[in-house]
Amino acid sequence: MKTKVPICPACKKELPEDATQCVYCAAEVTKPKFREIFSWKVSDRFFLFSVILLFTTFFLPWFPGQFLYRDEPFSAFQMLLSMYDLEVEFLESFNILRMSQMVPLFAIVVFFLIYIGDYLKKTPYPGLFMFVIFLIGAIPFFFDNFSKVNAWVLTAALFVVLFYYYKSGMTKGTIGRTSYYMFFVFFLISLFLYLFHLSQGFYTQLDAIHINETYGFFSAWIIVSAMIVVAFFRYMVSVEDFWCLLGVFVFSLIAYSTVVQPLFVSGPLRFFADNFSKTGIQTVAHLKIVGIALGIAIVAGVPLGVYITRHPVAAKTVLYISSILITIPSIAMFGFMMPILSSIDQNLDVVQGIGIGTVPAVTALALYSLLPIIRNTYIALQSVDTSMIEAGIGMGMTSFQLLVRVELPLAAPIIMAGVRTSVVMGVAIAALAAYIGAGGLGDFVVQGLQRSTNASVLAGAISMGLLAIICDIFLEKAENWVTPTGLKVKQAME
Amino acid sequence: MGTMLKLDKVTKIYPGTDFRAVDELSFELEEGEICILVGPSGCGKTTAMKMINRLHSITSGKIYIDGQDVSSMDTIQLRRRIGYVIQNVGLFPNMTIAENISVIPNLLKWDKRKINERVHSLLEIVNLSAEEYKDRYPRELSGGQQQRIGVARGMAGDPPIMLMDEPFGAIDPTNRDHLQNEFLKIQEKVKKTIVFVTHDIDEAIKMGDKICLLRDGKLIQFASPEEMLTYPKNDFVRDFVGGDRTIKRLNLFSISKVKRDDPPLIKASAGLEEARGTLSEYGTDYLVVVDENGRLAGLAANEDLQGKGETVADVVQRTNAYLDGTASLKEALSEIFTHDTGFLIVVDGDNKVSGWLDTNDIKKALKD
Ligand SMILES: Nc1ncnc2c1ncn2[C@@H]1O[C@H](COP(=O)(O)OP(=O)(O)O)[C@@H](O)[C@H]1O
Ligand SMILES: [Mg+2]
Repeated sequence: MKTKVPICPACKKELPEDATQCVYCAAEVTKPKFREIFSWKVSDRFFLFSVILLFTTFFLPWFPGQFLYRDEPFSAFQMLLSMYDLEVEFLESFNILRMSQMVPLFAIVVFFLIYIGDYLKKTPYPGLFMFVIFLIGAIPFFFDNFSKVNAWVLTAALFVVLFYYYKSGMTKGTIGRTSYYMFFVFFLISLFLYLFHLSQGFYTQLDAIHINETYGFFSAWIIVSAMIVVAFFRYMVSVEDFWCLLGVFVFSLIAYSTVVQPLFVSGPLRFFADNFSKTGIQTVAHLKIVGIALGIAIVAGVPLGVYITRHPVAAKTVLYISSILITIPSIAMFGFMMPILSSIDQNLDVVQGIGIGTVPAVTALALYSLLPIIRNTYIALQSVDTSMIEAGIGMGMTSFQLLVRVELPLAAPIIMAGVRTSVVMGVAIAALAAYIGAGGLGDFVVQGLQRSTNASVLAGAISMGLLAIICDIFLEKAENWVTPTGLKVKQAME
Repeated sequence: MGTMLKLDKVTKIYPGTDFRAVDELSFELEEGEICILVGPSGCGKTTAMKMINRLHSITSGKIYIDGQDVSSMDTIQLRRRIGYVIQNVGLFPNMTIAENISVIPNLLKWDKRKINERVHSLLEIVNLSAEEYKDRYPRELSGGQQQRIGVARGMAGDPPIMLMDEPFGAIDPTNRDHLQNEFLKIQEKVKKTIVFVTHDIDEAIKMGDKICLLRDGKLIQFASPEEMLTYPKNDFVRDFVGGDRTIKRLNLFSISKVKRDDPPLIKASAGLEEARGTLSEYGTDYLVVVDENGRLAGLAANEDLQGKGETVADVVQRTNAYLDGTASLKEALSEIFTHDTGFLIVVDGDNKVSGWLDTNDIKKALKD
């Protein structure tokens, strides 16, 4: 990554801009080359892309704004102005739909945090630091919506974190320093606005939700745009960079109007906005189906996997049956389960208030999840070095002790990988469970298809995709957690 | 010292096969002895060993530990009383070194303090610093270190008997030699009864109090290394120990047993005149020069003594032709051939001259 401030390759200290030699250790400093721009990391490019996206949405009234408001187009900038002019009528019409415009913005914040996290590896949790700065703008909101004590505690906590980062040297780099100053500016701005609004009787005319939205929105805009200004100056390095930026700018205009806008602003995102609570409920329902099925599959699959490692004859049969199970088309499986199991639902309320098909769906999913779990358990236990087993038995471990103390810990990462496969597969298959009335995010797809609302279909698909990705990321971490430390240490050199 | 381990016509036929992997094997082992099971690959060494802790069942015959028939004991309890070290070490990679060593003490439900002390003392015995190693993981250790931990783990429950299946088999020759020496030192301290499997006759000769040579499951000769080298029972034994068995025997004698106690000594402070007298008295080519405390100072040859100077100290030549009394005759022989003095000075730990020997002494020792 290119930085404006050259860093000495030998002693890693910051140098004056036009330095060709390190002032501390006289090592040669080479200027960043043109080619390096094109070897930027993906996150760098995305960051730049998002920055420009934000600027276009912020200042151009004709651009995305026209899709957002029924009567006349407005930009986020206009929205800010309206708020400043205290057009209460406008503010009342400001519903969750408008929050949609916040999405690219939040995306930028997230990427910015990640980016800085990459950049300032030496400081603990720089992302948290940026988040704290972001929260500073919301301090007036704390005082409006929480009890006085809570608000003070939160505010104090923010300051403590800030102080900690100051102490830990976070504020040393250019970004760190700028952010640190920015924090004071934001704090003053939000304080000023708060007092100003109070004096205007602003809050008496709005209910709590509106305050919520306006304040979150308002502080976010200011803070992020200030960050972006900083970022812009920081990354505008050379003429080459300028061309690169211009390219991204043009690209983003095209991308926004052809892809981003229809997809996120008038499409599924609007759908989410309109069905905010329903999305939440369906996500939970979806997770419940997958989770319960997974729980059953683990409880049944791991012991079964252990059993078949000890009984090779049974192994063939069990693996054979579970591979057959996984090839049964899911629709057929659900259809098959329905008449057998749906009656249970009436007596046993497993997943509250969600469709009649829950028990069949969970059962079917559990069956599907069995194979990856059994197979991985089996393979993992088989691959435990025989010398370890011989040593354990020879030392007088019972086979249960050997299993619990040696074999399972060593097998855990591979078993976890099986769980991961099951979950990702489960999230996808559970979509079809909506057909038998099990609920879950698949409902959006099913209903969307019935009523031919593309937004609903897309919303279902996107949310399930995201859910699968999030589960996968989380389980990847979990895989790392269950890996015994002894397997992660560096191997000795002979 | 009673009989610790006794095999009585032990036979093993693996189910589904019709040959005897071990055929009526009988021998007895005293407490504190190392018995080496040796023989060509596939001769049943491992099988014989694994029947002792009942990893393999015994087809017929009896094995007694301390007078008790192993087949009457609970297998789990039996195994916890027998230290077990295998060729591939088999340390558990998910456990730290300390946890690995304390596996058996934990199974035996020792209390925490005692286990901790045991771990420390064992690490000390195998020459690894407890502070540095106890919280590390097996993967972080070199092969040799892992092997030592394997030995420590085998000894952890303070078992009267240890079984070791080619414990140094996977280690390169130089390190193996080192580990063998170290292991012998450890054994000096702990005096366990050990059954040790190897296919390497040199290792057997070096490590064993008794060697048990097997072929096709049958016991060919059970004897001390010396006896086996001197009186090989038949051609198979002779072949197995190799044509160089006389040289191998040299390994078994230490210099101090063979040396002569009358080296041609002269004090460094003695006058040259006196020295010339002493030399003709002994009738040798050299005099061994020592200081006031009897420590080796060097050699003085006949022509040195004819030269200028007043005392022997003025003409003494430094020399490397000496060895510690604990060295083996094999080393002595090779030292003698590298120096042209024709003899070797024997010193003790303080570098004091305690004797000398030449090739004739070695020849005599081999004849006896
Ligand atoms: N589990 C087993 N089943 C059948 N035969 C075996 C088994 N283990 C070893 N054998 C046979 O028994 C003989 C002795 O084997 P082993 O004791 O391992 O020899 P060594 O350790 O001396 O190399 C060999 O012929 C081998 O093929
Ligand atoms: Mg073997």
